[in-house]
Amino acid sequence: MSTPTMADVPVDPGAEPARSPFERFGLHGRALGAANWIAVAVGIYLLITAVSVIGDGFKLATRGQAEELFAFASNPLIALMIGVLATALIQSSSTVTSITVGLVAGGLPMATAIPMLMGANIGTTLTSTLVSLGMVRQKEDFRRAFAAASVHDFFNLLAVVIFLPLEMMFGILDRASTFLADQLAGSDGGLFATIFAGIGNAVTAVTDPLADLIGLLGGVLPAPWGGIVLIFIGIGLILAVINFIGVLLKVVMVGTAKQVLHNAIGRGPLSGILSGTLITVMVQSSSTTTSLMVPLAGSGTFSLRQVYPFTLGANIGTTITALIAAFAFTGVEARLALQAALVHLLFNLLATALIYGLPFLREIPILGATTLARLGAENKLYIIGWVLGVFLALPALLIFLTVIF
Amino acid sequence: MNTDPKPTLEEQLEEILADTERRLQELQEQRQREEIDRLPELFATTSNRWNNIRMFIDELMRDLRGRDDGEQA
Repeated sequence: MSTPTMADVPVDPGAEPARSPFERFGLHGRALGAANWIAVAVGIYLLITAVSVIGDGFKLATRGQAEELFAFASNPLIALMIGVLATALIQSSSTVTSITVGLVAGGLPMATAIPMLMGANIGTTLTSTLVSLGMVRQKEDFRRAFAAASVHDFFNLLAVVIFLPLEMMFGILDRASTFLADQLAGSDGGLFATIFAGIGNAVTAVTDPLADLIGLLGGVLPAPWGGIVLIFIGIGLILAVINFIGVLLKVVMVGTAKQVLHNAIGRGPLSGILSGTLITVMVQSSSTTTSLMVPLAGSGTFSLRQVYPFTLGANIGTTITALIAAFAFTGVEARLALQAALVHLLFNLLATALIYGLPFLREIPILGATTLARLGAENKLYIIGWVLGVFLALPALLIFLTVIF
Repeated sequence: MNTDPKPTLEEQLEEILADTERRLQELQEQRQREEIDRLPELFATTSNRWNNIRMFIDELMRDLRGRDDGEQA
């Protein structure tokens, strides 16, 4: 085995570091920094507005009949697969969870939303897998890179295998999130609810005018098309805004992100989880955080055991987007939206505490990832089988089995 | 008078091993820090992912062709 050196880290020579779009207008220095931050603030404003538009659109399209219309997804496995496929296609769990928050506020049943949110966790792992494929020409690098990418797959699959049946039997996430949402946004939640409602009212006072303006489009068209158009506008806006914010945050947060990573070096797994969480919050994308570690693992700079807790932090950090999105609503809708966002947060916190906390469970993703990477480095058909199996065949099989039985 | 007992050969070896491990750890951490300083480039690399599928398929096809050629030979 060759000793990895600096030159082994596979940074695409054609890839240019992220640059602020405002540089094209001749801005630099403090003016550029200010423009970047103002644009991030506008982006968050548009994100919240877009989630509100989706909620309004969904209400308009379903006319309070969301439960009946979404009866096809009342099967948790189908809802789970909607989350997996939508996230794999869009390559952004933040987008899918924000959309789900909007849909829940618009009437989507929580029992359908919970598996969708879990599915978003699985779907988002495709991105780092794709990044690892870029190292396929160097066998050893590819083995390490693919292991780093697939440890995220195995962890998130294991989390769903444990928590989805528990949710179906006992409703633990539903109950826990209901309790917390009542404390934070319920009508008799006390101090926290008052503060949360105050922030929510202030945010919606700013975002409602634009959301209402966009909502006028929905009123022009006959039902349910007006609502459907609003949903598509909201989704398009979220996609564009999350991409735009992602580029800007990579520019403005790169220094802080470096500092966080430097501080995590030589410390334990908890520090890895924390730094993964912080970097994901900074760049608002778990895909970016987990993909970032793939070339570093491929070159041997970071070991699989060092990358593993970092990816768990990414799972936790990505839940911040849905929590921000929950501020798009007030009253009962705010409570529902917050509950959906809390489901995502609790799921990732509990999964990390349980799977990483118990040594025998902690080793399963490592064992799965190293075995699959070893097989895949020898025969690439295993990689094809894994990707198509997890993202296509398994969903199809589960749906088939639930339809038959 | 020196009362410190002279370390045994085993103890000396243990000390050398521990020192080497510590030094290797430091080198690895130094390397990690140098790579982290290239964060902007790493961010850029990770956004180029769809092209990787084609690269992977090309490599897979090459492997399969190589295997066929090997069997025929």
